[in-house]
Amino acid sequence: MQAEFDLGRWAAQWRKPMLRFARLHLQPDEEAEDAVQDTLLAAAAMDVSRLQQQDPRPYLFGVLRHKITDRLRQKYRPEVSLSTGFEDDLDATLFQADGHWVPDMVPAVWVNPEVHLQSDQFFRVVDVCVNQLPAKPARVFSMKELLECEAEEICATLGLTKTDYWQCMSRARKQIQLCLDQKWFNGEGR
Amino acid sequence: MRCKEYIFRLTSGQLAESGLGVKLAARYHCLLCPRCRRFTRNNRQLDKLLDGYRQHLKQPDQQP
Repeated sequence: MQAEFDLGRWAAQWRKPMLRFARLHLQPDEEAEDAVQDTLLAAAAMDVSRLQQQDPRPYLFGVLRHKITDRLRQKYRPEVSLSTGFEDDLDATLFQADGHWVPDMVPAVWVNPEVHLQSDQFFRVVDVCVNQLPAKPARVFSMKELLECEAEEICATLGLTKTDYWQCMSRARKQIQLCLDQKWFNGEGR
Repeated sequence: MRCKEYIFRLTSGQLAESGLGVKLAARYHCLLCPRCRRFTRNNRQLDKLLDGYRQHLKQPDQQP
């Protein structure tokens, strides 16, 4: 006889990873909690047999993504947009005045980086690197790389020009590569 | 194209949206610049690592 589906236990199993995901994009905590709660309520309204039979992640995180972007869109309405200029001070560290690299600033090539995806410690280092990003690039980066939004949606939600978007993405990806290199691949983390 | 411009175009995503002329100039720069080649290789790997990170964030909580 098939065991009765425990919706409460199922929701508890998924609440923590969803909350961890939502907190990357929404502050304060109450906003993240609300988005997760709305998502779980939507799931609870579904046919229970569907929840039991398939991997719920595409549905849960798909709905959560919409809840998050809805809240971001409300928060960053045009009159409170992020479109003040962003100065990338990192470039002054990486490049000489003539546009060439400062010697020794380029990370060494990462060897077999995918093997590190088995390591929880590696993911903790990624968490640190992502959380060290300046606020504006962090917002753009998380929408692009974690929420998988397109550039146009990010610009519309956060009230950015395409130039702002490019500057933020560039800063984020440069800093994260340097951070992972320093804290994991060629530095202190291993 | 200098390193700073190349790295900006690469990391911003602008390079992927550029016309043939810019892409050829970028490719030529990368052929000549070992530092930018290194950074580019790692940038490609970063895409895979971020994909893994995204999946890791969605793992269910195993604790009862």
